[in-house]
Amino acid sequence: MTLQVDQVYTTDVLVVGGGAAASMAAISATNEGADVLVLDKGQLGKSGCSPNAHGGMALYPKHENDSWKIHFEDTLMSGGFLNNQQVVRVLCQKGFRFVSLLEQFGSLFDRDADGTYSVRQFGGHRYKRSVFSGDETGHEMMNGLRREIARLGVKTRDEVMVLRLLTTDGEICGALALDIAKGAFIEVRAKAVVLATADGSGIWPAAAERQRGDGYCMALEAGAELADMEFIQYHPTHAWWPYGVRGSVSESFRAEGGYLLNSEGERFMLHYDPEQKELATRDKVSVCIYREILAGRGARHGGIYASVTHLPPDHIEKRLRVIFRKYMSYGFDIRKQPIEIRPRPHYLCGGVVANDRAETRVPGLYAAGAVTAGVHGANRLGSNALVDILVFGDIAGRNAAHRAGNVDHKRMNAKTQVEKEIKRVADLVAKSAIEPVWTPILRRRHFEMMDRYVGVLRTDEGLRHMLAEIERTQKEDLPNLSIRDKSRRYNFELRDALEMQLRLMVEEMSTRAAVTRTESRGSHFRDDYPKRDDRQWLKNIVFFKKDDQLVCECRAVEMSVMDISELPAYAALDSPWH
Amino acid sequence: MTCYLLPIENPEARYTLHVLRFNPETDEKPYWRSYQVPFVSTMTVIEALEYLWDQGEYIAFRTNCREFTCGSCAMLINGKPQLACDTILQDDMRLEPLSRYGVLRDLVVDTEAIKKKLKDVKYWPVSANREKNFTVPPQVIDAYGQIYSRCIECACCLEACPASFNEASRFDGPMYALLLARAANHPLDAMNRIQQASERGIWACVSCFECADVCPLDLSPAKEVAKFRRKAITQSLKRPFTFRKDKRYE
Ligand SMILES: Cc1cc2nc3c(=O)[nH]c(=O)nc-3n(C[C@H](O)[C@H](O)[C@H](O)COP(=O)(O)OP(=O)(O)OC[C@H]3O[C@@H](n4cnc5c(N)ncnc54)[C@H](O)[C@@H]3O)c2cc1C
Ligand code: FES
Repeated sequence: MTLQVDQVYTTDVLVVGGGAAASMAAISATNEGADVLVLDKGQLGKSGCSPNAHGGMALYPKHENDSWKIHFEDTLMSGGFLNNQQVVRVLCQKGFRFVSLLEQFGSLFDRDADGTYSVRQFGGHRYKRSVFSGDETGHEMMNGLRREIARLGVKTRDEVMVLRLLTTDGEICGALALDIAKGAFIEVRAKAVVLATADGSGIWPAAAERQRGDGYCMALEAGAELADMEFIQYHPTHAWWPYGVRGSVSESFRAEGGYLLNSEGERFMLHYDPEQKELATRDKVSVCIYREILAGRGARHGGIYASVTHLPPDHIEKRLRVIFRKYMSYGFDIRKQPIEIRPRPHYLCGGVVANDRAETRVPGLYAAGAVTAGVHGANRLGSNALVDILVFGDIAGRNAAHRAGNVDHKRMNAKTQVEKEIKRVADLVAKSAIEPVWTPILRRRHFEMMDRYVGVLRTDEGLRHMLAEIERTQKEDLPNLSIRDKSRRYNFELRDALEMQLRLMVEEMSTRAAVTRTESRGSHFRDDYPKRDDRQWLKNIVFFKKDDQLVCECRAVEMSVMDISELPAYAALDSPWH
Repeated sequence: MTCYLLPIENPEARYTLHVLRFNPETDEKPYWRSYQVPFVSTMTVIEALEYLWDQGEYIAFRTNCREFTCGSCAMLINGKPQLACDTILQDDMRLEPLSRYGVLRDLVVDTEAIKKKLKDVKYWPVSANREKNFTVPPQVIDAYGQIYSRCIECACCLEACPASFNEASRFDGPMYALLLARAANHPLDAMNRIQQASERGIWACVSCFECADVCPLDLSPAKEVAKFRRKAITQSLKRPFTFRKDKRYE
């Protein structure tokens, strides 16, 4: 197969991604008058984890005592004060507008008898403030966004994987992409790029396996900074048994009153956290479950029991519709039997550093949604992500369009970057190593090691072991990474191998950051440093590239809106969680 | 690919899986190929296909969510349109691509026509004043929750419909009828959807309820068609029984 650029696009704004953040950015940029092109590795609206988000979006302070400030405090407390406070303020203040906007696009969300939006509570939130649509909030959100994209006639291309952002004199001038459907390259000239490729939780054996962190590597190569990469949030309740059932058992399971039980039938969360019980923050629940499992009190198949059998059956059918139906289709009745769950990676809180205008350090590069750091700090609060992607998708789209209105196309001076990238792909296709390394085997090995050493419970020894493995893979395995399928169309083996090369970079950053942070905070729990250390570690660990070398830097957090001393109850504690 | 190893209890127990393969670059005709997959109780077809990826058999298929919320993995399984992530693997299963659309490779079909048609039928709320305040009757919220929000546009029902053979049929097909009903129920929508549905061929529906039978989410597009028909008749549209113009003579 010969590889070449066979299509060139020129556009004002290029949006990379196909979830809610990308859609929102494309819509806002179009409304600002820009010419927009959306490139998505999957199919727009069907890819990414936006359509899979079940729970809700925290943007409606319905309770009379609730306010943006309280939401802000909740977010910071969960995030261990590592959040970018300017960004969080925007998130908490600007969210509400988007419910009615989505409804204009065609979505509808659940309402109470008095006509106001129904709200539910998520772990770590002090009030009920999450608007939802049954168990399918993200899907309903995408229903609206896809309709608006179609209505506006935004140009979109499905199954195109962006490989590299192109820069001229340090400014964004476009991107190079691989058309998976055709097996040819696409070159895009753009005045601004919005990166909305989601997080990299798929580096771990995550629920959302397709989140492979491409965006991180593209941004890093283009000159942007990444932060907080050590904070991988585990979703505590992930379907584990019966085997065929996949995906996370949404937090609504616990929110609606579900119990977690160990093999002795005991509600163990009662003594780990008597106050919040099952609704403690996700990482705390994850660590507690792991401790129970390690203590030999796990369930039969290696998970832990989760049960709603004590709730009224019609309540389960109505409020937990998706989960109920899902298990029913495997012949399992959650009204009568407890299921087995186990914590699995869910969300990588870190990512590209962007400010409250969604700008990165690279002129012309904007980032929105799960690919960014800053909103969630050390740990994401459930149902904050769907707000994040809407608010910052919108801001990124607008600002990118404004930039496009004010600058001309850069002289495309990126020939060497394009050639280098094409060569990388062509080499991979052409390679015939004597001892070939196949992607699935290598990837499985790394999945397991990341889960074990850079997972819920971390130690210095384990993390260093992982670093050694990453180094070994880069030296020994990557040069022999080969593919068997040489065809052009829908060559998923090629796609997976290209992702494999990227994932090592993400693994390295996460593991290095986790070794560096000698404390426990948020979703980063070190068994050898189990306490929070505010004197040393109110810092973000930031990565960037300098002279082609990865540089790691610790930067003190700016507490520009609220100082930690303003929440004395929080500051006085040294638990990693609160 | 699966990120945990399959919990294989008995390595002897194996299932055979037949896949209709086709790569337009190298193959003149599609051909059947059989594969062996270890038996694991409650394993789905997606997991079997991913297991084969692990073994180096890169059969092309689409998947994303694995929990029937994205609708990308529809295929013919034993001749019936189903979601691969929602179908438990059995011995001797036969997998084919959907027949309504052109095959791009193996189990991947070209669904661009769906996108185009959704745009044609204006499946968003059409309104002159979108910013106005509105209330939503509880029965609409219920209808969205129970029916409309749940459609994942997987195209299984289109495949099963005997009254809509392809995207050029005079009846658009069950999925589109359901999506029109969704739009019609949106409080902002001001378009005459009954007229539109009528023109888009709901009269060709033979009420066989095949669509309801195959819907992985247990929805019933045929019921939506019936509701449209009833409304078209009771509201006595000027010419309720019109079909879309025959484009062949234009
Ligand atoms: C099971 C589950 C449940 C969740 N529940 C909730 C919840 O209840 N509340 C909440 O607030 N959050 C929830 N989340 C988190 C939330 O869904 C995500 O954080 C959010 O949807 C991310 O949106 P996004 O638009 O940034 O990215 P995504 O929607 O993930 O989209 C990323 C897109 O980028 C594309 N892409 C990736 N790489 C490339 C490339 N190289 N080139 C081109 N395109 C590329 C992908 O195809 C994809 O379309 C949940 C997540 C999961 C997995
Ligand atoms: S993979 Fe999403 S519906 Fe099957």
